[in-house]
Amino acid sequence: MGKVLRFFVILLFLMAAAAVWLEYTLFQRRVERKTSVQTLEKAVMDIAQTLTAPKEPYIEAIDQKISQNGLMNSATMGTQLRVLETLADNRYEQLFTTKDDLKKTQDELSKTQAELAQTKQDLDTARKEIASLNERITQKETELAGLQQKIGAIETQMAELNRTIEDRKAQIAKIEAEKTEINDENQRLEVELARYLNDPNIVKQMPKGLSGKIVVVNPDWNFVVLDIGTQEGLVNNAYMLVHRADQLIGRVRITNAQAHMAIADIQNDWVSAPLQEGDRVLY
Amino acid sequence: MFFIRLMGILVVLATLCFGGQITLQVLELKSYEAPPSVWPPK
Repeated sequence: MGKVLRFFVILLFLMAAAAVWLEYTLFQRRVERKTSVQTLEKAVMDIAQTLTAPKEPYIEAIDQKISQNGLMNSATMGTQLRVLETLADNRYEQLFTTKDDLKKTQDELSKTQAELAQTKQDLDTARKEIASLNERITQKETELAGLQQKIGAIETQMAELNRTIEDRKAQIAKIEAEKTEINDENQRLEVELARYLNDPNIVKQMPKGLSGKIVVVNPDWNFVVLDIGTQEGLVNNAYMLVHRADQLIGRVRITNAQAHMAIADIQNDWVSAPLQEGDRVLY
Repeated sequence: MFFIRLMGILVVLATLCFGGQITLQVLELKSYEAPPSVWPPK
């Protein structure tokens, strides 16, 4: 009986020592676990705050929060972690969208840069062309100035020539007037001469447009009497046309021209109607 | 004689209690090595 009791007592001491050792180990584990859990809780809260916090000017705040009490309870910890995961998903989605936009923007930027490079090249080309054109313009302006000087000189010469032409025209007009006067005088003198010489060849020198009227018709002796004579320029042997209104009806030859009257023979070959007093004669 | 029997019974009971405590402590120690997972939540 004593041996059995002794065995149990020894076993009891051994078990107590083992219990103390196990308790010591568990204490260390609990401390470590507690520290780990606190660290994790703080990390989760920090991550949640970071995820929900805004960052001006691009990132907006998310109105969703993690409950620290819920995080410390194993029954609600999962829900809080799900909230954290949702926050992370939202931010990840925003990041994805932003990356996508960034990619598009970079593509557009590359395209725009290429267009800009092309535009710069075109601009350089255009500037060179402008410089070349400016040089040509300057050259042309110089040539134009020279031509304008020449034009000015030519215009001056033209003005002088015009004045000369005007002078010449005036002289010509004066000469023409003198010529007309001389011709008229010559014609008058020829008529006078024909009157004195009774030259039938100079009859044609009668004044153009000389007209008169038949005042008497004698069909028996085949002559008429006119109301114009030598004072009006009529000469002997001249032929005058006879008309009635717009109709030509015959021709007469002056046989005896007096001062203000004349006798003319009727040219029967020309007569298309009997002549009457009042018919007009025209040279 | 009675006192010795009583002591024996107490020792046996104490041994059983220590044994239970040690068992529980070992189970707890084991649980630290593979803690129950709460993630993902259902």
